[in-house]
Amino acid sequence: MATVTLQGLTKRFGKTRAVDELDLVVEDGEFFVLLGPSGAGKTTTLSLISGLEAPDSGQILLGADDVTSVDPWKRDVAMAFESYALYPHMSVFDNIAFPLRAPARSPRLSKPEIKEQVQRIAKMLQIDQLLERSPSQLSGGQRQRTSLGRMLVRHPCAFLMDEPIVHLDAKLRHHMRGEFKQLHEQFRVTTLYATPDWVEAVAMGHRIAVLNHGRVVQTGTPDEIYNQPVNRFVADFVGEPPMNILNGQLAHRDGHLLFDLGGYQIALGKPLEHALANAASAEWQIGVRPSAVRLESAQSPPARLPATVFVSEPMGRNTIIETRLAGQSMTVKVSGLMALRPETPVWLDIDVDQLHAFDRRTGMRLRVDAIPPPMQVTGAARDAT
Amino acid sequence: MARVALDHLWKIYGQRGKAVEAVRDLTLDCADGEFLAIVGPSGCGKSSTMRMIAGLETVSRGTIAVGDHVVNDVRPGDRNIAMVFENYALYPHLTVRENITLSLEVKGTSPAEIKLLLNRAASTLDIGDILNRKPRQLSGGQKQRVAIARAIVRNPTVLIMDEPISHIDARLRSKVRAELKHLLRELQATTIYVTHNQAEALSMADRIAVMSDGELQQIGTAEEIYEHPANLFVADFVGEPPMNFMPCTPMRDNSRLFLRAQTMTIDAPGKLDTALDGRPGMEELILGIRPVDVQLSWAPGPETVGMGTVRLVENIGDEQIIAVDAGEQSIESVVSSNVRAKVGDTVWLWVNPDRAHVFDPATGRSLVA
Repeated sequence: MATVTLQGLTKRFGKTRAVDELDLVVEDGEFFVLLGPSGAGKTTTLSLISGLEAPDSGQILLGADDVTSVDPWKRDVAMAFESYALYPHMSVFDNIAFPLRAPARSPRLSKPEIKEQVQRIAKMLQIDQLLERSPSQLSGGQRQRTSLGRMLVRHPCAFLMDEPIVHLDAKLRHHMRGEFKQLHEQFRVTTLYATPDWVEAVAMGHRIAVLNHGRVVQTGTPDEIYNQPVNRFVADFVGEPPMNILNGQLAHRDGHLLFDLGGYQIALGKPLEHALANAASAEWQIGVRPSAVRLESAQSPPARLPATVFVSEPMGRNTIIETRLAGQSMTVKVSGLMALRPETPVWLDIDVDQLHAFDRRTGMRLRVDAIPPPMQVTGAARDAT
Repeated sequence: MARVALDHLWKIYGQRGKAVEAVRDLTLDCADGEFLAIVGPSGCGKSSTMRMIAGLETVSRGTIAVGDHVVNDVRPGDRNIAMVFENYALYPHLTVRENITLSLEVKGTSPAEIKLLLNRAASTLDIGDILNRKPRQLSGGQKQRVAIARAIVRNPTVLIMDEPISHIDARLRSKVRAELKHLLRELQATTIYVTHNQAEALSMADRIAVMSDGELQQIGTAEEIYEHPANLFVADFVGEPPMNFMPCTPMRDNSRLFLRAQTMTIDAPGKLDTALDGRPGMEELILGIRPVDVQLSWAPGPETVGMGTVRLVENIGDEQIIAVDAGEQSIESVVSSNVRAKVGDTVWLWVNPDRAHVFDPATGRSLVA
């Protein structure tokens, strides 16, 4: 196992810079997620690390070794694809043993040695009872574990995973997230995991790099990415439904700085007021997550922003209600099921501790001291480190 | 617009011993102006049902009525049903305007009326500024709106939508979903919406028909389906993360009825008493509890019902999913992200018995719905 270091990595396809001056250090044993929309450069980055593509410039280091010009099969990395790419005519045992029997491998392993290694890995993955089966007799999860087993017997210094579960249905995806996380706890192989799904990223990653147009927009823990997005792009990309971004003007009243939406003012709270008063830009947008807004059917002291329901969407354990507030869209997430007809008047209360200010022109988020309260650190991922 | 009524509808594919019953004895009603979702996993019969309504498949048995007319033998083109497909099926070489007006021109509608209908649809769907573009120049959301515009200019009696947003990028999907719901409500169009995605069905439709294995499992509002699932299939299919299930035995202590599972003992939900009335003995039942109805505590208390060890913590923004191992049972709980739990913690479980579900293992039926 080893660190993976990317320095100034660039890959062009024609005029497009698929990966543009990428700098990243993935720690030994870390579960590191590359998160971004399609076309962000996630797959290209993994292909460069694995050697399937050659960079135009920059370096790739595995541990202390520069592997930038090393042949792909000599790089000690294992790549998992969305399709498990198992050999259909081989048993689970033979699929896992395949890399151990490769002709180029040295030293050659004896039959008992191969058997011992396959069984050890299969036991850890809880597929030791399935070794005689063919892939067609396995469930999706068992196939995924077999494919991981084939990667693990090689003792690679890094795993590269390219959207391995994006096309599974929601239920199986949820299950596989848990499996990946627990397997990583167990094996601690340095992992780079690419996905367009922010839920996978925050649920599994120790750290996340948010990519867009081949560049790193922000690197951080799930807590940092979710609670302190560097800009509007990250704020919008991470979270479901996306953060509300409101347009308006700063206004002064009774010694306080407020955000005026056109007739309705939002209180900003001391830390944000202070930061805005000292900021260079004058044009701001205010961001607030749907879960940081409360909705009341009657006007009560804190809930004083009048809005009307545009559409309400019962999702099961919560309901997403899109409202119109001073002509702008404002989405609210409430717990439980709630059926509200369009045009129903409602009153909103915004949690001032969970407001973000974005520079309207650059999209950058204003750094504010003391807010927001840190989200709890991801338990499983953190504790063992 | 009109109502759609399916009466004891069957679809049987193949013959001579190899028959597959894709749709079995399906009876349901979509009221005039209603937005009905048909949801289920692949192979549940939802697509066959939709294709029979559209006239793309013959009916094996039973009837389909649109308005007051049985349409079993009416050709698809004469049913006045408009369809919006998953892939939008726009003509790539035609502009948006031409895609929308083609069916009207074929029908011989006057140019003046075509213009009127086009303008109305374009303004409702907010696509007035892209009428001269070709489909490849459009985003997924725009293509979808064009496909809907093309469907509604025909003034159909029924609108059928087949997975219309499942190919849209996840980021855009929630936005398109809300817009589509709002739009369909404004159009007051009788809509039958087919999807495999339970969240989409719950969030958009007036009523949801859940199908499995060719049969209707339950039909009702989002609240009825989610809060009162009629059987194990619906309980497991609807809701994310899925409901926790565990075997349990009802027990009586004086007049109180309990449910004892391996990991917890809880008061039985009120309705169970009557449901068990007259049943011989106290056989094993299945207890179902949604993850959101399991809460965690770090100390035993009068309300805790069992204990376990935290196996997995998944933080998903403002919520987290915590998997707890309790004996051989794994129980999932959804809690707010400010609850501090870590792997290996011993936790006590708290369950609101009034929100528990109980199923008969023999039939799968809920005893408390």
